[in-house]
Amino acid sequence: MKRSITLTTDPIDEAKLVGQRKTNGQMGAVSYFSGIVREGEEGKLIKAIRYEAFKEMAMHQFELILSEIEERWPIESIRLVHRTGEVSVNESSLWVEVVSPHRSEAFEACQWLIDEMKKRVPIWKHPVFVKMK
Amino acid sequence: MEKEYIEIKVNFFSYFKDLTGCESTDLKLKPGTNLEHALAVIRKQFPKLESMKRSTLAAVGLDYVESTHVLVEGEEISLFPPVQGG
Repeated sequence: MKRSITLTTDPIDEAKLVGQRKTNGQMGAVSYFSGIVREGEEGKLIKAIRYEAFKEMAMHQFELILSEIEERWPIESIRLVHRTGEVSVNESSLWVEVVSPHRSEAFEACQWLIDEMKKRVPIWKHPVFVKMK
Repeated sequence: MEKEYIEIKVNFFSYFKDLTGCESTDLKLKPGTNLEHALAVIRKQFPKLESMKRSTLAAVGLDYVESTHVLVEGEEISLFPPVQGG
């Protein structure tokens, strides 16, 4: 399984990522997910979320999760990008793409990856609240 | 001759840095100390972590380990609240 994991402070350029997609004649499904920063957190308006990561461990835990996916589903490739630093409302903080022969494993693996990330990958959110005048 | 103590670095992340007032600290522990005992020592040193006891995640190096894991010289413990990626 081909894999790419990126933690970056740069904005996620979805069009560019889609343009870089590599597939082949055996692959019938591409599932991708983009997680967007909402304008509300803890019942208050926010302008951004600052993401803090324990980078070395986050990369390692993502690698472990992808290895488990490789054991469970016939996936051709996974690309994952997670932002760190400040991410404004309406921007993507997470982008995941799963390429596989059929849709069921692409959906399942994508969902499972994100569920597992939320249990064990050391990344935290710090809301940046809108200052009320 | 066996050393009298081992040195372990402890890192804090997210709001645990606020609770402890630091990003990391160094611990001197008796050889054979396991993670569970080390956590008790850390909570004694930083009592504000006590309230987070049930939701604290602990890693040694880059992996989550059992509380029975016996620490060795040079290992690093990282403590943090539940993760929130995505």
